[in-house]
Amino acid sequence: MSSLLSIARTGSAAILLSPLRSSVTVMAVIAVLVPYLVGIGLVEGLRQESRIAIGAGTPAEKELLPDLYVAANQFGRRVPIPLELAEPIRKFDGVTRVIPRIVGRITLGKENVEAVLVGMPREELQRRGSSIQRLTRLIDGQLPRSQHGEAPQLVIGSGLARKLDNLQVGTVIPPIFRSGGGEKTPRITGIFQSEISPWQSQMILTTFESAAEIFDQRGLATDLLVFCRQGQPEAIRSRILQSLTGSSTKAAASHQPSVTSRTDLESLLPAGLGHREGVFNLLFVIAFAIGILVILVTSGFGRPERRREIGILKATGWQTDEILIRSLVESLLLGLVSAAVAILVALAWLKWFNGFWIAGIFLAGVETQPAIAVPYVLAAQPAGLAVLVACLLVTTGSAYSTWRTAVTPPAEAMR
Amino acid sequence: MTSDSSNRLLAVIAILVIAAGVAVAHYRQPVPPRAADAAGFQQLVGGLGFGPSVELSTCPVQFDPRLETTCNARTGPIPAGGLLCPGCGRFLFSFSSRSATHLTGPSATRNVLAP
Amino acid sequence: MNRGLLETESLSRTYHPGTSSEVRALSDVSLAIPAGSYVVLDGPSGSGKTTLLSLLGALDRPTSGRVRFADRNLEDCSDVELARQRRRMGFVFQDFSLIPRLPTWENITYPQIPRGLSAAKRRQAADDVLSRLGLAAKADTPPEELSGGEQQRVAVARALIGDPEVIFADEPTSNLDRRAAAELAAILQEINAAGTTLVVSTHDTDLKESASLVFLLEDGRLRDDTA
Ligand SMILES: Nc1ncnc2c1ncn2[C@@H]1O[C@H](COP(=O)(O)OP(=O)(O)OP(=O)(O)O)[C@@H](O)[C@H]1O
Ligand SMILES: [Mg+2]
Ligand SMILES: [Zn+2]
Repeated sequence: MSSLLSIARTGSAAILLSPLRSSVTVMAVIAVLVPYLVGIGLVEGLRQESRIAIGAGTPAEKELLPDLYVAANQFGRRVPIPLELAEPIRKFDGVTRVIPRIVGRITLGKENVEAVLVGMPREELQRRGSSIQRLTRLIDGQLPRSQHGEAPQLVIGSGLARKLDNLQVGTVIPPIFRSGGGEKTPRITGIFQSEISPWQSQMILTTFESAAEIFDQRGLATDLLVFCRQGQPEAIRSRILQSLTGSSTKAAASHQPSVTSRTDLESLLPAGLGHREGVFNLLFVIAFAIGILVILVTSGFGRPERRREIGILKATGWQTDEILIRSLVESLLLGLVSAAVAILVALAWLKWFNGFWIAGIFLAGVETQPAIAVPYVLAAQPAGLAVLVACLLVTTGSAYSTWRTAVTPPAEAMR
Repeated sequence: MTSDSSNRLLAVIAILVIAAGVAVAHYRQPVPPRAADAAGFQQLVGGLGFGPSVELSTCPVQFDPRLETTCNARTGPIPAGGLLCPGCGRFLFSFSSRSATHLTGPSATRNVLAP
Repeated sequence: MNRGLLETESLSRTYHPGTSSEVRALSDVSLAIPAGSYVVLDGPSGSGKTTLLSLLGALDRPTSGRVRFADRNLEDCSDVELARQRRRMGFVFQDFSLIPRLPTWENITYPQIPRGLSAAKRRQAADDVLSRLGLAAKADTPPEELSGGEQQRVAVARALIGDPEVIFADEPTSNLDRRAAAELAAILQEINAAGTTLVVSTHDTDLKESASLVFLLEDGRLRDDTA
């Protein structure tokens, strides 16, 4: 066995020589790293969900997600678009389908629970529902099929179901609107499964027809979902902007189009760790700063014993560099353990405790105990960073004091 | 310590590190059924949801930039004025710097310049 | 004065110099210790025995004066060279200074780890020394489970392990009853008889009797009649 290896071995044994110091250090590093890893895990998981939400995944998904979202623009703000503007767009070359959609805000119940009401055309919902192979994985119950004039049928999100006294499928809820046609009692035909998406949590899905009635605003859509042939979206986007701007119809005269394409959305996806302004670096810096403070405090644990120990080694013929190697190996191993445990704890926190408490900080509208299965991903980069941070923290916490002690005369260090 | 317990410690460390490595390898992508279900849900609603919020918000950073292009709370020339918005201020999920032009597309400039 | 293994020249050590708590622990000590001799440092408590031993054993740096060990002036040695000199010496501390929680045999052989000795070889060496000192049964016991006398002998064993040229022992019998002290005195004499130079600080008359040279310290100064 080479002497370097022998010294390295004493580094690992040194962890056991000062068990209190080692465990306090590991604990402190874990306390710094776990919230960081859980937070990054959530953000990364959400990023993956966002990718799916804008169809940045496989071509199969793209077929059912639109290429363009067309709304109107008034005084530089995005506003609903008159339905009659759907007609000219439908006739454009390369447009395969235009679907109006309503997305609006309503409040429910005595506690004024906020909900996102989404209306998709009835037959469109049916068509989509039948093309999805296992609808029951998405919805506990059935898709809404309420026609114009009928009592609205709703599929509600898992968060809403819980907030509104654990609503069940089939429940009739008090009227949530009062339209010209009088009161109608909505019925719940389904509840979204909690693990399919975070955004279903506060969502109410109904038919376009019912949604228009609930808001009592007809002839308008929040946006038009425009499906195009391959390679056409950019051309069609320009065409929409050109031909509908300043056109002569009454509705179009006051509404200029505003088009968001899928590539626009894709460009919004945070570029991950490489992107400088991101939270990643911010959290990293904060974690590191707190970590150094924590380590400075905890490195006081067992410091006198440590001074003595180094003094003894020095007095019995150890060299300064040998002592430093021993201490470095010890620190790196402690850092490695801390990071590994932190990763496992973070995974447990995300997977089995469903991001308890931390998810509420990162996701607006999510409670301490989320009603959704929080999305998460343990990316390799943050995990690697965690290892790096842990090793750096523990090493910086001990390297300087070890070196200082190692170069003082042993008689003094041993006092 | 005896080399015995030191060996045991090294074994424990190795097991933990390997476990963490396996965890990262396994969970560095969403578990497949979840991705398929998420895609199914997005197909139903036509693509909705983007940012770190499950509630509708007037801030595009939050729920979905397809619904809002501008943040009501953004205070223009004030440096870091976006932080005043509880949505943008979260900036735990910030958009890249390209977003300003890409979000509204050419139409934004068009609306200003068109006669 | 003939050239000895160890020699000091006007050796002084002042603690906290220039402050109100300044202590002149050692002033102007010149002495020579011949190779193979058995030297006893005597003196009342606080007279500077530990201070002098630390300077001789390269554990501390003098405020002024010089220490020569064999052919090296310790003041001129670099950190690495000092470590090398220390490996030629063994030191038995007044308070034993064993590493807590570390089994006896590891405590004894810890100094040899950087020399690249395998664990098996170290264990063998430890067992040899421990049986010489009558501690073979305690090889796997950590120091906190040993009696004061046993700890003292473990400390001696650690000083012995690398076959040093000189062993310093700081009041090695102060914690022992008469019988144990006599046993240790015999062990020390045996060590000295094998050719190792011994420098022991003590009040123990038994130890003084077997000494070949006695230095008397008083208030940090060497009494003239002993030099
Ligand atoms: N680190 C220190 N700082 C300040 N003063 C010290 C220090 N170490 C020793 N002294 C002082 O130096 C003097 C000599 O101390 P030293 O320990 O050498 O005495 P000693 O002869 O070994 O005594 P004892 O027989 O009690 O062990 C004492 O007055 C002591 O108070
Ligand atoms: Mg003393
Ligand atoms: Zn905002």
